[in-house]
Amino acid sequence: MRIIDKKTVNKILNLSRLSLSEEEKEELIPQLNQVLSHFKSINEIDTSNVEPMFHPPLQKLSLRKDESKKWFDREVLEKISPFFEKEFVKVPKIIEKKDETI
Amino acid sequence: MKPFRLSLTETLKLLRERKISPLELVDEYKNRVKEKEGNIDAYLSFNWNEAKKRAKELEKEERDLPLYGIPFAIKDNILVKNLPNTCGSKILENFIAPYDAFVIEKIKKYGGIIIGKTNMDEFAMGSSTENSAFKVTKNPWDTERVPGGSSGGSAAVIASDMALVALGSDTGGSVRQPASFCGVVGLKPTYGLLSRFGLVAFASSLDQIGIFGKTVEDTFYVLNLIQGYDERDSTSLDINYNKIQPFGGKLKIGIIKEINKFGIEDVIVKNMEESLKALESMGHKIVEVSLPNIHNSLPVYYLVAFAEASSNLARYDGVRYGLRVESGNLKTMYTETRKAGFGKEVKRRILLGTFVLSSGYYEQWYLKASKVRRLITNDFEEAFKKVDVLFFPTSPTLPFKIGERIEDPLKMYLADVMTVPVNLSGIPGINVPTGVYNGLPVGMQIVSNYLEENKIYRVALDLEKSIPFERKL
Repeated sequence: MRIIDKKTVNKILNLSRLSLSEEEKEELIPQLNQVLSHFKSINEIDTSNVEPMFHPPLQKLSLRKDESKKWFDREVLEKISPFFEKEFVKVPKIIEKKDETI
Repeated sequence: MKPFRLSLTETLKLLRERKISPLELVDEYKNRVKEKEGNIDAYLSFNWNEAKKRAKELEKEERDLPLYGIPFAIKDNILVKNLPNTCGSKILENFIAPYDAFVIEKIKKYGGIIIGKTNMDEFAMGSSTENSAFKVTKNPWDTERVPGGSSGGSAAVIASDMALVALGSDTGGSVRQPASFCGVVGLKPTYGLLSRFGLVAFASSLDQIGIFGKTVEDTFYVLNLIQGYDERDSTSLDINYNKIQPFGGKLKIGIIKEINKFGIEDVIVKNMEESLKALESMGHKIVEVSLPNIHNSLPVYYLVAFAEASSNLARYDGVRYGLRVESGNLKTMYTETRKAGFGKEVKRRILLGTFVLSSGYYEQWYLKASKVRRLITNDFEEAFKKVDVLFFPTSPTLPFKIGERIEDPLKMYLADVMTVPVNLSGIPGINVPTGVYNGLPVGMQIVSNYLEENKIYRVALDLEKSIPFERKL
């Protein structure tokens, strides 16, 4: 059974900011379907009245205080990014044309 | 005996009695690495200059530091300041860590010496270390076979005596399964016991740092030193930490009634039965318990891990660090960077994760998996009302051959079938080597309820004592 077709692959490639050649898609689509076909067995399990579990139970997951804190000097960030200019990380122009989506 | 053959506790004694200096020990390990690494390919980078400098400094420092002069190898997804941290990926090939992970701060503070970073499946996604963008690590027992994964490098360096202790990360078995394949001890503590500050995130509700050692005692010795609350990790457990000591007394050991649903090889089932007999003869009681949902763990684990990975790996966009492929506009820069930087398996998982979280599919896949995750966790909770620990094999098979599963993702995923249930719940587990068949090691897993590592410690020590295991590779 095909759960994912080429149209869906193109959609999720766009959502995940990835791209593949046509040959790579040909190789990948059957693999994704093989994995999902095997995994869809979980839909046969009765989970009515079961609360989903998103993380282990001991964590309180409290938020820390909204206080600004200095983690790194700018020099450190400059060192790990080769795209630094003056005080900023350099990226391509974001607004070019009216219809340009980012 | 050669110093690199000794356990941590034995080595510490030699160092404290000044029978060997920290610098001499680093040199011993360096020579050992020179001899073995060419065949094993376990390391991605070395830190010899800094290690020697630190060893010299230590000669002037207090010898009662608890990790005085102990050589560590660290998986290449745990940050060590000023060392590369590739995560086995081209996208981080040139990234140098700007700070130490919490566990590394502790190791350094206590006198430990970091000698190098170890190979891994890209972003810890894999069960054989073949998904590394840089090299394939070989199993020291048989170099035609995989060391397991994703922390295959860390397991292999311990098996071949190229480090004394190693750290790895365990999201679905990535410490325990390679420990089993390489015949070493691999401990994954309770989720939240070790701070993940400085561990590169893969699947945040499952990830936990783990410890590889030559003996059970070595791994717990290190766990006691590197655990503790850390405000920089919001999942770090804020509890009163006491030193974990082996539970004093006999325990009820649970075997899983549904174990035949996991497709375990006969020799491994036989080894499990022998191991249980040995534990019974030491006074522990064996009890059968039912965990009706845990054979569904594999799909649940992978669906959750895909989803969380697709979100965590969104940060590799070519903007702030790592690889950037310049392209026309911002969007094509993201896309081209990720296309060039990620390997096949990582792309597969990002796509599957994006799919199961996407509108129209979320309920059927991610939400459904999260509900079954609750059922699996409930099974463990019920089981631990009847028994103290659970006992089952770490891997359903012996180490497989390099190349055997790499083209078949599903077959590779099946290698984790025995380890993923533990991560879904967040409980602790350990691999203890329990035998050798046709020259390949077998390991058993001991699992306990949350924060009952002391019970695992007891059973693991007794198992180690009752089943002699020789590792001279």
